[in-house]
Amino acid sequence: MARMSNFIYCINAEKVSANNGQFGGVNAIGVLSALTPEFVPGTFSFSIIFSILDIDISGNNTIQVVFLEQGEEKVLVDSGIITIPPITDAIDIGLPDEYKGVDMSMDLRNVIFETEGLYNTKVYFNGNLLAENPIYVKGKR
Amino acid sequence: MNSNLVTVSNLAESATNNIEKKSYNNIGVAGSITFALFAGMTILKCPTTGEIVPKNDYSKPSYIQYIDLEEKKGLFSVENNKIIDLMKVDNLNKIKKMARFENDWNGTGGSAFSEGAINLFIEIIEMLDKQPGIAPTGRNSLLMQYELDNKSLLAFEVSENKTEKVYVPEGDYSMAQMELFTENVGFRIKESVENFYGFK
Repeated sequence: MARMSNFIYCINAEKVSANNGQFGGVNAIGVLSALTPEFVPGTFSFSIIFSILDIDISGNNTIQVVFLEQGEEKVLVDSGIITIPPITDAIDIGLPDEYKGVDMSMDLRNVIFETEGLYNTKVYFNGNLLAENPIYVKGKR
Repeated sequence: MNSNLVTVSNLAESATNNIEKKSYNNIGVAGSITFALFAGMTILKCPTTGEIVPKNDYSKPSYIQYIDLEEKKGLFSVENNKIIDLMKVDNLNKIKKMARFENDWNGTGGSAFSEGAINLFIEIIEMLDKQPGIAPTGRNSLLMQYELDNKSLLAFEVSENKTEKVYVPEGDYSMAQMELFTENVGFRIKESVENFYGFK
């Protein structure tokens, strides 16, 4: 059953090419425990990185990322439903199925924050809410 | 998950509040609506070597965890799960939908996309670590756009035979710089984007 792992908020998700040309990676640049735009109301850009494990990557899957203020209905960012095509070239080193999956990154640019407080990233996988990851937003000034 | 992370807290940022949000409607038969949030990212020099670069304008961090990436070791030993850039996947999905457009797809005589153009768009998007906002045109070309918090704009119109690049510094269109290139388009775009974000 699909589960989320390693959810990180950061300044930038840096994609890195592997030396052997086969597997790449992603580096979390500037891990964030809070989002701190200069001013609120204001805008802020950040990235998220997360893993979804215990999934079948040989078929089509969908993912949707929604970012909103906790307790509010107004969505600040909605990726829409993104279809992830089958992945057939993954190197299999014999990991147990519950530890196989995908690592994902996404940039959220110029997100408008009107108020300080707790915000939430919801990740939907194949139409089901997989996890919610809150983070506090506070203006620096 | 690999342990090659460099984390730095309390990064000093200087940002102006700016946003431009555009929506692209009716892409493909599905008619999905995709919002492209243009870049407002503050310029941040990424420590590509794994070292904390002292010349960056970081405020004094209260906590630093530093792990040497060891460039030679690199990611050879990382036999991990597949990495997916969701924006790249989304852009590629959009381009695949564009490939199914027929003539007059936009109601104003927009031409269908040639196979060569679609393949070129896919090739470029695959190359880019920083994904642009994209939009189809009616002239067999693709618009790719980036924007910073300070209103600096970097845009490309990519077609099969040529690519036009426009750079607008800090929203000052009177200072716009244009460039045309016909060869090594993917690499030229990638290099321009890296310079735009200060990655190089």
